[in-house]
Amino acid sequence: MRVRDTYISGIGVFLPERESIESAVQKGLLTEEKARSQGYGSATVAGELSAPEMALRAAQDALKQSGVGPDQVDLLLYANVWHQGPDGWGPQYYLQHYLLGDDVLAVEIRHGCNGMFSGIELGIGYLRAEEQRSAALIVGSDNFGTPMMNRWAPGGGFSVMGDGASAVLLTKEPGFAQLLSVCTATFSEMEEAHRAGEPLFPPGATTGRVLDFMVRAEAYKEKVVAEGTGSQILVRHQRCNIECTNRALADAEIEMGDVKRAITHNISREEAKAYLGVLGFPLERSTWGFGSGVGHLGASDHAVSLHHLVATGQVGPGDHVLLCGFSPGVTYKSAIVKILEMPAWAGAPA
Amino acid sequence: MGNALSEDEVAGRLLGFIRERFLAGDERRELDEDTPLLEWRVLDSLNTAVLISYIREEFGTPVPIEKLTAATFKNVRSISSMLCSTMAQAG
Repeated sequence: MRVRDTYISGIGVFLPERESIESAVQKGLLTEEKARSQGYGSATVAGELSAPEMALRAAQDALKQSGVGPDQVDLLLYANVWHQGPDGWGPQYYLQHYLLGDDVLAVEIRHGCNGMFSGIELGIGYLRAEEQRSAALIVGSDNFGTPMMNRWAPGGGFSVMGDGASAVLLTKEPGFAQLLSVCTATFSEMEEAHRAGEPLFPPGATTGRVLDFMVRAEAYKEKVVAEGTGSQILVRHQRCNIECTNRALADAEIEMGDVKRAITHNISREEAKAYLGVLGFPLERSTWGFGSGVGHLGASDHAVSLHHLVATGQVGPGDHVLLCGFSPGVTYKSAIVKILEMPAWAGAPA
Repeated sequence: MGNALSEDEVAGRLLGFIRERFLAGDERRELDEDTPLLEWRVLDSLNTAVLISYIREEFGTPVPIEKLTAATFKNVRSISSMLCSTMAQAG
């Protein structure tokens, strides 16, 4: 989707204290070999602090940065990937109660680790739909420190999960960054990859089943090899990834060589390097170095890393940033953001 | 760099890379140009991405999007054939 009329006026971030990988190894939550191969140094751990409370703090920061008042926000989309609080209740209402008030459409969205991207896409459309609408707040937050989850090994060597929240304030009025494109691709034949070997009913969360993506991936691999569809699926997966990013670049009217920095999910070093390598982008010019210190933050990786790039002066006016990644679905997302000016909270250009 | 490479040379480099990165023990010796990569469990999600990245770096050309097919990645021979044809067309 080509975008020119929507801007980022604030990015709020809340990250709790970091716990080192060595500490997790000492506690027996992760093998030393796995820790070494994944490349993470630490992960952010929120302890007893709830995801909605972190989201509130990030949202407050985003509004404060932008100068937009809570009553000026027309839409709140709250993205998450893990359990937020009591069943039958939604975390978006917590932010309405304590920040935005009632005159706003507030919806929880569950679109995996691409949830913030989807929130941004939906937010753009919502703002365009009515002339008087001016601002949309897209929030992501998760605390993985619960039963049914070992944040240090949620499945094979793919990632280590970190806790935290992010909030992106989209406005029609110019902000410090401009959205040039946001694109989505989906390969739903692969949806089974993230559930294989488990029953759809009763849902694992109601029976206390521990999340283990590796067990599901192995079950899926067995199935597609037996069916003879494995090669086609593996290759199409990569094709979807490339096509989505190519479309985002084309819609932004730039080429990969124009991209200053790339941000993908904070997955393990090997996975991130291979993913970006397929796109022809070196890991060294991504935000993996920063991400490896906080862990994979569910839906918040991109917003938190973009905040980091701006706050540390690693990007400046005129720079293009590629945000990209894939998540269960399988959905693929790519967006191009252009930095227009340095906000007051930014660091000096590096 | 790759325009003058023969299919045998391309296949040799691919075999060397796959042996070193993805295989161990007897499989390293047994891998040849016609080994079915998926059935041998050489290619999984990560390894496929690693192989596509390697091709881009080693041969200086990305795999054309229309060539990202199961038939292309069936074995080393089919990948080599695609690469040589792509490099020849690129001139």
